[in-house]
Amino acid sequence: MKKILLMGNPNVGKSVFFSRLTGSQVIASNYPGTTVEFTRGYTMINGEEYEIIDVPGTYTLSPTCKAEDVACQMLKSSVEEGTVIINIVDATNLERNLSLTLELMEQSIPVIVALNMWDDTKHKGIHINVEELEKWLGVPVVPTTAVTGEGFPQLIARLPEARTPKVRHHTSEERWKDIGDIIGRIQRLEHRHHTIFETIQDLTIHAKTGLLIAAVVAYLSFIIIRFIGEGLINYLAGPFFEVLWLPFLMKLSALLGSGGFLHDILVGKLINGSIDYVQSFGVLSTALYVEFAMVLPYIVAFYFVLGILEDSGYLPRLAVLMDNLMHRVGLHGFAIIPTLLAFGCNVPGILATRVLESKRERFIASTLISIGVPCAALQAMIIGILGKHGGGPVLTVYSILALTWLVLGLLLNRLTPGFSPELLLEIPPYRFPPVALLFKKTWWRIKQFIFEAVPVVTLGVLVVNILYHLNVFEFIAGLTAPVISGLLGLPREAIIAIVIGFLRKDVAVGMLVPLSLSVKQLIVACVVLSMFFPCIATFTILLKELGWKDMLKATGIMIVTSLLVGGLVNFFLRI
Amino acid sequence: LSSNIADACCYICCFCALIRNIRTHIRNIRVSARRWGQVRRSEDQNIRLSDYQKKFNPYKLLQLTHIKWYNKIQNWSKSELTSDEKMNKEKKLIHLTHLSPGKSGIVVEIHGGHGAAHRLEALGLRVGARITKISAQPMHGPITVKVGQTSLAIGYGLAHKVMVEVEE
Repeated sequence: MKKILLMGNPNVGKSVFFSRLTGSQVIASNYPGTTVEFTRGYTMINGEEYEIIDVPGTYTLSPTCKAEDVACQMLKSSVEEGTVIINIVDATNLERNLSLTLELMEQSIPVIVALNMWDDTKHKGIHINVEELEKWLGVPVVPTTAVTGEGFPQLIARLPEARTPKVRHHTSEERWKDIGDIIGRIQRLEHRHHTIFETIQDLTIHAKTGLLIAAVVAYLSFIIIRFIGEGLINYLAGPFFEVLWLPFLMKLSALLGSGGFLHDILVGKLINGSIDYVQSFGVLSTALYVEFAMVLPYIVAFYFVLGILEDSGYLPRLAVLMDNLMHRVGLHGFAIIPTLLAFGCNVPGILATRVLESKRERFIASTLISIGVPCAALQAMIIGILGKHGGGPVLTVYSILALTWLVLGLLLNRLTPGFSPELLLEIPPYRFPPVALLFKKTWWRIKQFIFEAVPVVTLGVLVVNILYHLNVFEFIAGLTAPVISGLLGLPREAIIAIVIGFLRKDVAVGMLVPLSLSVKQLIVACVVLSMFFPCIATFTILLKELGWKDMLKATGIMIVTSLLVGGLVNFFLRI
Repeated sequence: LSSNIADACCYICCFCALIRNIRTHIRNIRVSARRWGQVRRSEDQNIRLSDYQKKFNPYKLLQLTHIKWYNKIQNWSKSELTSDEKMNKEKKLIHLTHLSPGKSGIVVEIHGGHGAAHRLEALGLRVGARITKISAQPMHGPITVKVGQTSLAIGYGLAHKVMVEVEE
C-alpha cells in the first residue's frame, strides 16, 4: 500500500487536513503541538488505497522535543517505495515554513506542497505567485484551505506528480539566504492597518491587561461550564432518570423479587423500599446514573469550552502569562496547556507533556498533573456530593489541591536534577473557532469518554458487588484500618472507595455516599482520592510515557503526598 | 613636555576609570546575586557567573587600567574619528531584553551554545532577521517579538542571548 505522510511546521493545519482526507476524526486546535503522536488513516485516491499518516509538527529535522522526535523517526522509517510527503505549508507564514520544505526535499522522498490557509492570505493582504514558487521548488504547489476543503480536488489530482527534485545539500545559512531571495520575488505584502483581532492580540499578551483578561476568561469559562452542566442535569438527564428510567427499574426490581444476588447486581439495594440512584449501587441504577446524569453533562460543558479556548488561539497567550509561575515549579509556561487538558482527563494531559523539551520537565509535569489536577469526571462528582453542603467545602478541596500542586512543584524543582529550558513558543494569530469543526471535536471527545468510561464503571460496580458478597472488603478494611481511621479519620469502609479509585475515580467518590460521612471527612476523602494512586488509564499512560522507573517514583510521590496531605487536613482543618 | 601632560592626563583618567570599574564590579555582583535563580536554570550562563566571582585585586586593576587608558589616549590623538564611530556602533548593539516594546531591530548575534541558536533559528529568529518587540512580561518574564509574520514568545534567559542592532 502506498503511504502519504502529512508533514509541516506545527499549527499549519495538518490534523484538519488529515480529517478531510480520511474522514476520521483527530483533535485539531489553534496552538502548536496539538498532535504529539502519529495517527494512521486510510483512504481511496484515484482508485488506489493509501495509508495516510498525520505526523506531529516539526520546525526542523533535527528534533528539539519528543513530539518532534516522533516526526523525525517517522520520516526515517518511511524511506521506501511509494511513499509521498504532502508538505503542508502555512501560506501566511511562507518564509519560515519553506525552511522545512527544503529540508524535506533533501530526503529523496517525493514531495508535494500544499499552501494551506490560503483564505487567510487574502484577509491579510499577502500575495503569492504560486507558479513562480512551483518553478523554483521543482515540485507541485497547490493552494488549499483545509477548514473548508477548498483546493483538495486539485491536490488529489496532482498527487501523482509529486517527485524528488535534485537539490544540493544546503547548510542552514544557505537555506535561509535562498529562501530570502525567493520570498522577495514571489511574495508581496500589502500594508494593512491593525485589525480588531490584532488589537485584542496585543492586549491579551500585555503584562497588565493580559492578567486581567486571563482572570475574566477563567471566570467566564467557569460560569459557562456550570451553566451548561447544570442545565443539562436539571432539564435533560435528571428528568429522564426520574420520569422514564425509575419506573422501569422498579418493575425490574419487582420482577427479580426485590432482593437476591442478581437483583443486587442489576438494580442494587433498595433504600426505604425504593431505588436511590446514588446509594443503591447496581449496574443499571448507580453506574448509569453516575456516568450519564452526574458526570457526562459536565464533560460536555467542559469540552465545549475547552474547544473554544483551543480553537481561538488563546491558550499560547495564557502560556506566556503563566511562564513566571510555571518556572517556579520547574516547568515553563507551555506546561499550562497539558495541565488544562488534564482538567478534562489526565490521559490526554499527560500525553500532551510531550511538547516539553526535557525528560525532567515531563516527569515533573506528569507527576503534578496526576496529583494536583482532578479530571472532569472526578470534579463533577466532588461538586455533586460536596456541593450540597455549600460552596465552601468544594472551594476547600480545590484550594488544598492547588496548594499541594504548588508546594510539590517547588519541592520537585529543587530536588530533581537538571534545569528547565526557557520558553520558546510560536503564538498563532486569533481565529474565529470554525463552528462545525468545534462541534465535531466536542462530539468526538464525548463519544470517546462514553466508550471508555461506561464499560469501566459498569465493571467497577460489578466487581464491587461481587467482592461485597465474598466479604473480601472486610479483610482489606481490617488490614488498612490503622491508616484509614487513625491517620485520615475516615470509617474503615472508606478503603473500598480508595481501592475502587484505581478503576475510576468518579465511581469511587460515589461510593462515599452510603458511608454518611461528615463534611470534614468528605473533604479528606475527596482530597485523598484525587491525589492517591492514579486511575488505571492514567497509570498505563504514565508507564508508557515515563518508563517504569520514573513511573514508580511518581507513584511513590503520589502515595506519600496523599497520605501526608490527608493526615494534615484531618488534624488541622476546623469546620 | 607633551609626554608629561599625557602622563598626567593618564593618571587622572586612570583614577576615574578605577572608580568606574569598582562601580561596575559592584553592579556585576549585584546582578549576579539577583539573577542567581535564573543563572541556575538557564543553559550556559554558569561561565559568566565564574567571571563575576573573580578575585577583586585593586593593584592589578590599577595597573591594567593604566595601560588601557595610556593606549587609549595615545590612540585618541592619532585617530579621533574612527574610535568615535566605533563607540557609536557599540552603543546601538543591545540585548533583546533591553529593547523597548514597539521598537524594531536586526538580530546581529546569538550568544550561547549551538542549542539555543538552533532552537531560535528553527522558528525563524536568525542572525540577519528583522524583529519587532511586542511586549515583555514583568519580573523577567518572557518577551514577545514579531519575526516576519510570526509572533514568538521567548523566555527571558534565551532572549538575553539575542543581540539586536536597534533601528532608528
